[in-house]
Amino acid sequence: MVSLQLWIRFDVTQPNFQFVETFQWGDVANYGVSFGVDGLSLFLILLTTLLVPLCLLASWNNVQVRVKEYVMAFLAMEFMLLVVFTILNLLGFYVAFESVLIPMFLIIGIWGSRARKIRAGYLFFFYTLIGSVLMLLGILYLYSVSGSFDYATLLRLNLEPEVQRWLFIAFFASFAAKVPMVPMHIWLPEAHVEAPTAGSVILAGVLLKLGFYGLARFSIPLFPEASVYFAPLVFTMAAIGVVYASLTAMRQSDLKRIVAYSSVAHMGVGIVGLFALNAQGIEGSLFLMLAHGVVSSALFLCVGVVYDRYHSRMVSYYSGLAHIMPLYAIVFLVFTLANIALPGTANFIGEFLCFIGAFQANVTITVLAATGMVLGGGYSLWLYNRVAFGNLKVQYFTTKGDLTWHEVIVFAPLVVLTIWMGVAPDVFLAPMHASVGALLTPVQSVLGA
Amino acid sequence: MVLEVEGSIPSTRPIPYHSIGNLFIKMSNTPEFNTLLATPSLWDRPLFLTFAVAFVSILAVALVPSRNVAA
Repeated sequence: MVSLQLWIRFDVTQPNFQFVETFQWGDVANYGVSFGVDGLSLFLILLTTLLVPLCLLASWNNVQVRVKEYVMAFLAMEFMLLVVFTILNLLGFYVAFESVLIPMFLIIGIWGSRARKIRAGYLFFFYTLIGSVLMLLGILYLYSVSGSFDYATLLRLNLEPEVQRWLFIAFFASFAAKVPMVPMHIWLPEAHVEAPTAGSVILAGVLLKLGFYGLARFSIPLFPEASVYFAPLVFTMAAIGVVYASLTAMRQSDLKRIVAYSSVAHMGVGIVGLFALNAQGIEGSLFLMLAHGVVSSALFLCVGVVYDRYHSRMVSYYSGLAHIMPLYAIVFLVFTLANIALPGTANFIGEFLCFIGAFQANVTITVLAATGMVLGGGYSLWLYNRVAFGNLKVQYFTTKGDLTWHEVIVFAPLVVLTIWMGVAPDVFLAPMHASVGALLTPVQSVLGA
Repeated sequence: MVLEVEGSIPSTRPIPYHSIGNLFIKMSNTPEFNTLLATPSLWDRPLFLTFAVAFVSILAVALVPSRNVAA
């Protein structure tokens, strides 16, 4: 509720950081840190402050051990995420970026569902940490040439193209593992499958956006020449990722794995939009990140609802749930349709803008990535059809009731947001315009040169 | 021999409210803390307020006695 003030008071015409808070340690000028909000970070902050309470509400009945520690892990993660999205200091960003791993590692390792949770926790930790070591080296190099970790100071640096390329690779290694982009995606389905429902929700909803945010906040404006240079490579990786993840999702038998691979595909579309390096593409990718944060989280919650009742995530176990859980079937349908980017839902606006932007940059890649939408329709509708329709498997099911009031309260804001973003996207796009314009200025000077 | 305890039993360890309270009083008397809370008013600083609420909620949960002593 408090964070909504950020949106209400946000000046959409202002490209600079707003609500800036500066903390200075002593009299030494270099030892201070600033926090601020702009069009890139505003909705990611709001997404964090929306999803964490919903996660805790969703865990109300199904977390029975170490409840206090569980709640603290989520709240600590929320605090760290707020720091990541607002800090204007590169070293502080790195520290918070890595600190988020710790509560998530504990959530997967302690409150996960099966024995494989330990392996999944380590996979998650190491994949994302190894990439980050390269970023730390890049940060240290930037400090050695600028003498500061301050974001505004670093923006004024004029690095040689060759240096920019090395630094871009160092930062990209960390962010691409976090997004995740194929082939650094292996940790994601493992982590999703073993994490508790709320863990999957926050992982899909916010943690995946950290890599994307890092690319948009640091890689593109700090290394504009390298971003233009590497754009075709990133495009290719993202487009292959979209097709590969969509095809892989089709052959999965675990409900969570299907949603997890769907997430990898959607993040790929977002990266295609971001590296189109034009206004439509970047705004579309930012919008898609927000939409994916809502829709993918809701889909994991949908999986959690049936898992809590029947303790199975196998697709073949379920059939005809619409007969005994009609309200659940409606909610699941809304999010399934949003996941395949049906017009009138949030994902449509994001993906459409991404493809408009990408089409101007590279037609072949856009066509390749757009097949992901078709394949997405395939696995999403197939999944819904298997789970909700058909005959009820009476040998498995005893009626355990439709959505509880508890669950309705969790789903209601997500349904409203999905449709609101789909029918009135300008409310969400307006705060992004000025910041995206500022982000594009150095890139356009490179493209114009 | 391992005793299995079922259900929840309240923690018997006292919560150090007194020392935590003292810590807050000490913090609030420092010039840095007073500068932090000085003009403009808190309501005009939504980002600071967001961080404050997030931090206080962690602290509040930390102070609640744990219910799962047996676990």
